[in-house]
Amino acid sequence: MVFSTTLFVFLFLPLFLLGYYLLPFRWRSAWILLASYAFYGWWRVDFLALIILTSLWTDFFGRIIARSLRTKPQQARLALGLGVALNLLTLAYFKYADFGIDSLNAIVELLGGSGFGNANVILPIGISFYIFQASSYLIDIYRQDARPADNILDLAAYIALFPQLIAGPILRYKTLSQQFRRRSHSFAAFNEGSLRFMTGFCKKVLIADSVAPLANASFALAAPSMADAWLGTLAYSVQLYFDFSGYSDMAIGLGLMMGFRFPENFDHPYISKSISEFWRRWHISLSTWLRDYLYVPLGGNRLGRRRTYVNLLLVMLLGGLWHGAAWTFVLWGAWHGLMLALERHYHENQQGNATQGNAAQGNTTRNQLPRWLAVWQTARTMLIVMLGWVTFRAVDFSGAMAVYAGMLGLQGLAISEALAWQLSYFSLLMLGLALLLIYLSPWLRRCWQPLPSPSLSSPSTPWQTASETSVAAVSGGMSGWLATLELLIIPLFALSVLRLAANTFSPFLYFQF
Amino acid sequence: MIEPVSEQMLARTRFKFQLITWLPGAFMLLFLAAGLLMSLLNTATYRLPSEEKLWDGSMAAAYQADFEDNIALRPWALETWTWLSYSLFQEGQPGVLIGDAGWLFTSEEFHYHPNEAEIIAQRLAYVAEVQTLLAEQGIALAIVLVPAKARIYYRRLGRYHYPSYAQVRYAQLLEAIQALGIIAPDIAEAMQQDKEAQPMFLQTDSHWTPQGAQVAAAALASSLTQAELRLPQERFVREYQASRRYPGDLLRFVPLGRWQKASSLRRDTIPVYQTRRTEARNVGLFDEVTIPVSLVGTSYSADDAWHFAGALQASLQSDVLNMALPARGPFEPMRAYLASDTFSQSPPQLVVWEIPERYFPMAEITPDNAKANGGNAPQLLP
Repeated sequence: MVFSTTLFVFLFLPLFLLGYYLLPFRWRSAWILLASYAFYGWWRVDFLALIILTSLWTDFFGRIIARSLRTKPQQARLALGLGVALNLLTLAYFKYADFGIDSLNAIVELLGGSGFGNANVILPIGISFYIFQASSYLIDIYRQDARPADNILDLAAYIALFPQLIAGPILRYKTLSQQFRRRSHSFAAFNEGSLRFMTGFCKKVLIADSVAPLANASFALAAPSMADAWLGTLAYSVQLYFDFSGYSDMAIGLGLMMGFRFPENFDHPYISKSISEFWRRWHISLSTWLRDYLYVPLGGNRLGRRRTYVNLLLVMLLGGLWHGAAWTFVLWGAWHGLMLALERHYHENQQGNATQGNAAQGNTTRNQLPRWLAVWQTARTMLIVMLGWVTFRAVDFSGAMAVYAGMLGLQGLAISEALAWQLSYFSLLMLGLALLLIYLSPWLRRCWQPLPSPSLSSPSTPWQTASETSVAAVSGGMSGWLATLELLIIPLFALSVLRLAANTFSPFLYFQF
Repeated sequence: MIEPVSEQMLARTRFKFQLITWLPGAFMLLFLAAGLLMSLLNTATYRLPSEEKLWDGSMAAAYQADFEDNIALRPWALETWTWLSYSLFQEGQPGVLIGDAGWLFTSEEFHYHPNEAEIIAQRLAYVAEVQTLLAEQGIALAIVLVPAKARIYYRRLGRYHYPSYAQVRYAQLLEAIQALGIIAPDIAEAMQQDKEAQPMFLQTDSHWTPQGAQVAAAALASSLTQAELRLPQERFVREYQASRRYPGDLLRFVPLGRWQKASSLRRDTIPVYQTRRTEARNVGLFDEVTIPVSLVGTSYSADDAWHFAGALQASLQSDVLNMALPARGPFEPMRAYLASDTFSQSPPQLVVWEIPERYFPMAEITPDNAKANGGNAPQLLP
């Protein structure tokens, strides 16, 4: 099932929330689990078995780890190894078996032999996400960052939690464990969740789905011109961001409606001034997962410069492969790994030990940089990211090369006839609005520091003096005006629902990860 | 100096702020309640598809499709969104291009096919195969290559430009077909000459008008005369009956509903013809009577609204057996005809094969793969 469908918003979600709030707290995990399995099984009931099995063996190994951690650390280590290996082998089989066979066949055929038959394995949706979550549960238990789940229901509900099951954010059990045991439900949280859900919905349906045809048409051209290639890449960059961040917003919003607070997954990544900064703003849950469970165990930056570069490259290669079973994703990961390593190398050489950590992390603030430099760095980073998205989006290597050739103007300059008739005014308008939103909304957020929303329980605000009261009233007026602006989401959401009801099925890009 | 504010004003500001900030949550509650009510009133909510399987998700997909098609909001949402799209941007659903003054064109005529040359070569190879098979039985083959509507009415395209890769298609295809020794009149040229006098294509439909079909039939008759192909003669007369309003198939891509009256999109008016035999063939008492001409093709021939079969009868003055099939493209009907008992038991003297030019470089269209390719968007099946 997908959030941006009328079935979800008109039937599944109201029924779920009705049941959730009618049930006592002790039954809510079971209700979440039931609903999540129904949500997942909507795609294929038979693959529910895999997610159930994953939950069962994760629980089994988690209990062994917790029991033997103090008394038999080797047994705990073994259980951790087995549990994580089983998870990763499952992922490897379902996601990479056919990729591996195809790659092997290519080599065998090159050497004159005949290849092997494909396994034709069905890729379970969301497997990359729930396997990572299950693995992080075992690792967090081993590292004593979290207690094991009180019961199998809580663990299964954590793994299958439907708001984030299909496309993240990747949640750590240590973040949610307390919330499964105790969380508060308030209208304020529901309100915040509603606003967040509606925002994500608009991003997906109004923007991402509108620019998608531009990207699709451009990437379908065999020999795109310069204008085709750049327009298509820009459209895809916008589509991917609004699709994925829109989904994350909806997931976070749904979580809030249930009293869960999920971590943020995107933080205006396209204003980044370096690739390092980009990875602190894009798919944050994945980048932190890779950092904590892969980069740091490999040694991180503690084993010398060369090893650091190797670790960065390796982590990004695997990160690329995580996104999809194709060499184009590996290339995309390699591109980012290379950029991260180069940035680190450049800053370490240029700025010396004193500012090594800060500069390599691109922490230079807007106030310290001249404006032209900040703009240049943002534009350069965006260019690097867009060049990477070409490989990410292309069907194969030759397709990516065709787009790069187009970008360089080797296949003509102006918009090609094959694309021209497909340029919808509406898509172009949404593309323009999206670019404005990308670069204006961080500035708007900085300008607006909202007053805390007055709660039902404490209506009086402890302002001490009359002048403070006056300032607060004026500020409250300003925040009220800006809060009103944010309420534009409501009619935009209504418009999105209208569009959804009018149009066809609207799946998410990260659906098959 | 800032004036101190009263407690009353503070309370009012606080109250207004509360109301504003809680609107999203309140709206969401109302929205969910309304959505649930709409779902409970939707009869599809209670219908489980019985033909599909539960385990592989096909039942869920069928249920969802049925639910979404029948939700009460959908017709209104479709019309309103289409109205917004049409009035603000002059755009409809994917598949249609909106030209000037209510002229609609199918985007299929504009598609660029990266492997066009390869597909056309395959198609021409099949055409040659058909020609050989027919020739072995002494049957002549004639092809009516129907030009794209955008080719004839390029001046009505508005902001769109008929691409050059599509412009050269007709001439190249005609030359290749004629090079195989097949009778193939230049229908595009005939239509260009006549289009000012009478409409060749409908305004809101992808098909030709009965007048356009007549022009094609007359062009074919002329080509057959030049090729000295003689057919058994009968007298047929094509007679005008009445005019009727006809909602074009492309209007399905601009479903304005109640908003249509406010738009420039209008139903076409087409003449209705009937063709009748006025004088039968002169045959002996014990002679076998076979219909000398078989017509194979798409909805351009199968649908009697265009009356192409009748126009052929009147132009050739010979009987025509219409074996055209709608919604299968031009090649599947030929395969079906050649495998049929009708062909094996009553082979004709001439097979007229109607092929719209836009289908030469396309993948084979069937109702199954059309839906898979286009999802739930309206399909334009030839």
